[in-house]
Amino acid sequence: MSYIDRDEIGKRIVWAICVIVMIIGIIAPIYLLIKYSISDPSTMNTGGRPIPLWPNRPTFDIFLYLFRDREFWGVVSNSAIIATLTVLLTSLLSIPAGYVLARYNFPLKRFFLILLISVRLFPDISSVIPIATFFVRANLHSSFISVVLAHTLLSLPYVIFMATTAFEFVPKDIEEQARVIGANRVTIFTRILVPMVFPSLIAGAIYTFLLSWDEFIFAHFLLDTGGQIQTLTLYLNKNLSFSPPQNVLAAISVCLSVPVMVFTFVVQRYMVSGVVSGAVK
Amino acid sequence: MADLVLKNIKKSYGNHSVIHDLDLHIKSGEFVTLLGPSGCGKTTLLRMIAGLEKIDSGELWIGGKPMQGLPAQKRPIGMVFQSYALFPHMNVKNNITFGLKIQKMEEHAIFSKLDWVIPLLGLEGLENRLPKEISGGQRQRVALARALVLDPEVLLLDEPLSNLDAALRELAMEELKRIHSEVGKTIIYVSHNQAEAMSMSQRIAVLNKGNLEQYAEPMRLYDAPATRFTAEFIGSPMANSFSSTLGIYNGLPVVHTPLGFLRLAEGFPVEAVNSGTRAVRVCIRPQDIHLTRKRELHFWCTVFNVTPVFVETPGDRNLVIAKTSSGETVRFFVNRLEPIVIGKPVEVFVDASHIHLFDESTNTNILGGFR
Amino acid sequence: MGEIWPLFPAAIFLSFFFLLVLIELFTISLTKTNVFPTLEPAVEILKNGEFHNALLNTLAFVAIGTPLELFAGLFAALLVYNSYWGKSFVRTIFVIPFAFPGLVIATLLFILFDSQGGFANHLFQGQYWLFPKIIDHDVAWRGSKYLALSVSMLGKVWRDMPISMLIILSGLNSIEPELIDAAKTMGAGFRVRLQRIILPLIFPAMTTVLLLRSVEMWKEFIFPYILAGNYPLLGTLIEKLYGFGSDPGEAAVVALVLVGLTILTLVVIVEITGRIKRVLVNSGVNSK
Repeated sequence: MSYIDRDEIGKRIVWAICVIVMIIGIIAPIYLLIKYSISDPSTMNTGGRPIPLWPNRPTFDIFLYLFRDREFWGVVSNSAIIATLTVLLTSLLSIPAGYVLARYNFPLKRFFLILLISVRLFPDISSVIPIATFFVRANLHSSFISVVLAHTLLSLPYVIFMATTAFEFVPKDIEEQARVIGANRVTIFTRILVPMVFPSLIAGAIYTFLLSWDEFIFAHFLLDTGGQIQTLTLYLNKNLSFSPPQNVLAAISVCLSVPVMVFTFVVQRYMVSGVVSGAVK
Repeated sequence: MADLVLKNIKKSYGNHSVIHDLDLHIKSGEFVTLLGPSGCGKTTLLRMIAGLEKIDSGELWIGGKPMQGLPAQKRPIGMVFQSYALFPHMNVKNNITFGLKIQKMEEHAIFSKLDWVIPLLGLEGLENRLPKEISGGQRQRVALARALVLDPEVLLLDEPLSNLDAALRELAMEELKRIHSEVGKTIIYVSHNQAEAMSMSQRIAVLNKGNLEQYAEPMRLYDAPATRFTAEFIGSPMANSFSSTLGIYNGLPVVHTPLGFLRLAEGFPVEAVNSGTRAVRVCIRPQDIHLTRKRELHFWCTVFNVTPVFVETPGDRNLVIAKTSSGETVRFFVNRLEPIVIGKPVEVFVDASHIHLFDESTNTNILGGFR
Repeated sequence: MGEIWPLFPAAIFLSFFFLLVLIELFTISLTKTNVFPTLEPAVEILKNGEFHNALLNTLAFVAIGTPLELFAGLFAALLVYNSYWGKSFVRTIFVIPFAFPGLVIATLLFILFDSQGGFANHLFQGQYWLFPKIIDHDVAWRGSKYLALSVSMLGKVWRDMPISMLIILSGLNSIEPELIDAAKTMGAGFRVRLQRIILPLIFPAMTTVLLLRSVEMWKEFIFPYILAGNYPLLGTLIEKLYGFGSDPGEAAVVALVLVGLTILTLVVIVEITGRIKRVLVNSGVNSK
């Protein structure tokens, strides 16, 4: 026999209702996005009758069309190249910086941390004007390198925080032990420290990749004015202005979301501590 | 009357049973300790009484009212937690009056409560401090004050002294005894420290692996342990314990131990020996083995020889660790000034009335059925 | 100094771009058709009615959107924290919106809130099971300032709620469980525990949410860009001036105004929450 009082049952019911409503509010739009991406024309243009909740004739035609389209693949590969280069540059800059911040106290440390927070909180829509102007002047406009540099600027502060937190968790004793054995600094760094913080570094890399993959503002200002390079977000935006059938927009959106969704769940737990520590420091 | 009655209490987490069928009756105004090693279920039991943990089955009555299904906030209890759990964002005064304000008690009544409890616990002058600004001992007293002002029928204390250092703990124990005698509340105290329990409680419930081993006054636990676990857990250092055989010799009950034959106490019921012999566990406290030197022995004492191998000096007296002729280790206390030479055999004796016998298979005192 | 050289590449990179942004932003804002320095862009934009509208719209967007995100995050976090079963499952579901790019969600709302035959119109006209009828005719969602900006805010709050939730949840998880138990044994029911114990203790986490989210709200671009093109916020106005207007000077002034307002908001939030905190701490339950 088990004892549950009536208040308790009432509370559970209220909780369950709230959770179910929230889940519906979260899942329903995503369901509709996927539904639209596999809809046939008769499902979208119903002439006033309610739009069916499941397509009349589900079809993958739009996806097949996109996958056969050379422009689409060009756009996807552009996005992937930019994201990969951003990951490499960000890692190269952030890992050593994170190590120094975790290990040493130096006079300008506070100054550097303030710089990090300022860059992180600076509105991207405000910084995009001077940066775009600079790249025009430097003749780097509409180039991969300009977008990679801009995306690195966006990701770097946060990834440095992640790397710093990760290195702080490695006890200093381990390093000193290695030094006693006779390893030099570079060996200690590459053979001992980096493997120990590898999961966090991977999380940082994934975060950077995704940030670049779905970034729109800088790509728009740096590439959209007369250049040849287009990213996936720009491609979706361009299609929006042509007002094509809704299933085309939905299908491109799904393609844009898939890697983001997959990776976000991988890095989710790293993000939590990062979001918090990045905000507090 | 605020008797607390537990009947057939059971609790398990998944397949793991932590309390199996426990009965306990705590009288109004009593100071009772739930004593046992970590993992024995004592804290779970306390939390079930508080209403913080659900009781799987059984009955819980406080002051004649059933408590099953009542959430913690509706039970007539007060609790002091191991970490004290003071609200970090409230000063001492607000921590103490938190519960009173929930009851919507009037301002002047709250003030008179404060006037009563603050001197009772010696918290004068700390009213406006935050928990982080006072010492561990003071925090513990605030936690106690916070529970006392609610005038609970039962006060539950979950190892409240374990975070204090040794010197403070002594003081806090005296404080607690004084407060108990002043307010006369029923107190249920959880501890793994037998010395603490022995010196404070009126009765102790010894728990082991979710079972109630014995529920009795401290002296009775010491003098007449009901189970082998109680005999070994109560008292310090641990009692000497030997696997032995109980039998009749010359019409008298004796026990055959590695020390030799030990005579049993006057009036030992011969029926307990059953027929022939019986496997038993003999427990003798180090305090109950004495040197024979300058002592008058009566008939019920047994004398035997041991060889000291080591002497520890804990303070007021010395602990001798010795070997018997059969190689078993025996510990006993001697006077601090007693000259003990390592390797030189000494003659010691034990009084039959201080020998505790437990059945080897059930681990219960073989006198259990005869007392 | 010799030991901190690995920091230099990142430090140089960040300082270079940060200085570049600051200097260029001021320079551009003081330039009009190759004349420097001039206050003309600033004067022009201050006379511009579109700027006034954008400023007011953004102010409303921040003032409503920030608390909305706080409450949505708080609500979700409390549901997860008090889970009766499947805590990590519920948490994972609640994080899903954050896994979608803002542009995708904006596009989805663009589709759903289509003015003719959009799903939202059908839904609100009560054409589906259970959902009540709210409107009689198709509504042009992007044709009205209030509707277009409301839909933008809906998308923004929906997508970013998980961040607020995770920050508040980490605040909740750092509360010692014994504190909650202690409150229970002192007679505190759920509401009292929430008001007097839980909320004061997660106050720092809520402050963090307010700070981060207010910045996000001020600079919001993607949702209004897709969904409310005719009713600019400051962010979308910058893009419009820089691109179509080809007036980088005025765009830069707006960008500076945006930065200034963001900083001002942060200062105000820190000041206000600091005061509230001083009241909360030490007065404890007195604050009824």
